[in-house]
Amino acid sequence: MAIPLILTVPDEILLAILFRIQGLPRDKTKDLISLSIVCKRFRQVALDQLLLNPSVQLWNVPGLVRMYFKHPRLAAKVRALEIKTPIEALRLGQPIEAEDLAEAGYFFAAPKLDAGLIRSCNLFIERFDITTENKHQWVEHLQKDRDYVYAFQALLVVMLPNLKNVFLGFNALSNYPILGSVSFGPNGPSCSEHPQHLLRWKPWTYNYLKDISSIIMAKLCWLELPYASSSCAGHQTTEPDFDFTRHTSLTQLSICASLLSDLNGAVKPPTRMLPTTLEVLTITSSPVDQLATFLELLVSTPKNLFPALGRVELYCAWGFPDHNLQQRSPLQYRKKMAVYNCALKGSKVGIHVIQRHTPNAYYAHVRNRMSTEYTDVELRVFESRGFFGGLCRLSDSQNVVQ
Amino acid sequence: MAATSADAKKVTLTTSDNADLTVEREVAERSILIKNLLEDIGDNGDAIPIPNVNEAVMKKVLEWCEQHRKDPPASQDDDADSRKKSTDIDEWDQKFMQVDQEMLFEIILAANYLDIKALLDVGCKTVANMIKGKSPDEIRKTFNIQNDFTPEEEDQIRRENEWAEDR
Repeated sequence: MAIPLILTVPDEILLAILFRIQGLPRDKTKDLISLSIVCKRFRQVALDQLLLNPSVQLWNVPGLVRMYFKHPRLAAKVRALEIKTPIEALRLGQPIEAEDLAEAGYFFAAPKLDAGLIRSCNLFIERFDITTENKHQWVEHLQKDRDYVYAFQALLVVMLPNLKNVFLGFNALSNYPILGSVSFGPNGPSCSEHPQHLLRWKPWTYNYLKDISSIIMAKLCWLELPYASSSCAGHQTTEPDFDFTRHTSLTQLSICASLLSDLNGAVKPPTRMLPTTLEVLTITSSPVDQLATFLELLVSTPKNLFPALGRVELYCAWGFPDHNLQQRSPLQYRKKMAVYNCALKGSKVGIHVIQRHTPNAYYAHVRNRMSTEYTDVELRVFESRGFFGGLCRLSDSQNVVQ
Repeated sequence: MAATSADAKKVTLTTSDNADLTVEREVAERSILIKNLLEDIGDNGDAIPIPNVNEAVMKKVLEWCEQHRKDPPASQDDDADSRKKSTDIDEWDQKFMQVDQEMLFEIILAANYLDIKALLDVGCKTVANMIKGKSPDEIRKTFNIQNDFTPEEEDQIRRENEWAEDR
């Protein structure tokens, strides 16, 4: 029998073909998985695609770590990583309380790891340059309920030596202690207050993660945290106080507006949360109140404190405050005008403030074609990526820092 | 700088099966390979050998070049634009690509060899659309591929792929 034509093309063309499979990230991943079972030749090419641009659910990180142990050649090539959280996968209308997550097996139950993977992890950690005590904690956490999530995240980010772009789709910062310890403030919640806090807000006990977070802080250029849990209906929490000033390579940061204020609701001065290397700041789901205050502070900050900052992108649903609004709601009008005045002021100091809307074409595409297949939460996550050229995943973007 | 001698100059291409095809230089120059060749050797009227492409495929490729002769050259710096374009195949190209699989892959290989990026792009998208949304079995049927995994290997791969699943 003749060799199938598709198997006669060189790898570079096969790759070009796979690269052009259109669709939402989830569908594309499915296609790559299907391809990898077709035959040996496809297996290799599809695997490259899956592992070079990994997009992984939080609880599946151990499986991904296993793949990089098996294919270190590919690990060295990864520039961008996308970690999704369980919330993204839950269907709209389902409760997303901690108990439900626990019941569904998320976070809490450590996966059964085979001896081979454990051995590889232990060897890797053993060779790592940290205190014996921290090594011990790291190894121990690999098989501990809930903590395994963080232990494997840590492994993943240090296994990928050239990782520079991290995209955390739908998220709560407290799910990512690898980004640095989060502060809950003197009056912050204690872990016994609420089951949700038990899941998400824990006192910082991960000493080994301090070593890891300093590594990731030094190498990360692009960090995307477009949505915080507080922007999800029925999930009322405040984000812990977080500062990015120690991320010394960070040039692009995308955050949810709820991170602009501290635990008491006061807007934080930009110098307390943004690194001096920042070039582009993106703020999603921005309520007008905090935004005006924050922008005012930002454009008034001496230019030498943020010498590289040239662009601030705001994702907000509202349009330019017009005469109608002025009549209807003078207060809203004043607040929105304040944002626009900040934008004007910003342009004079070289910071271009751009307001962006949900890309309509994208939205229509998702809505018209398969509205029932996607959760509301997913829609929002995808929306946040719309500005990278329609349906492509962020890490597909040719813009990732190489 | 190239436009000075653009008065419909012709070039002759000799295909792998020794057919001579004469086309306008502007059309042939959609191929970066041919363009560079003409620039390097100068247009001395000699036929240019294209040893990797046969007459039938070359004719088809030139048909595409003719249709797209006025397209602006692909720019490297405008990423946003190329991504916008990449969501769709235009209607003429869609019809153009309605060929049997053998011709489709021949066109892709020729576009690759001749360095015609836009044609390669359209070809690859056409194949990508044939893959999209199909199960492994359907993909095998579409391209007539034999499953060369043992059941154990297939099992192993399914397990290895689990990290990429949504659940």
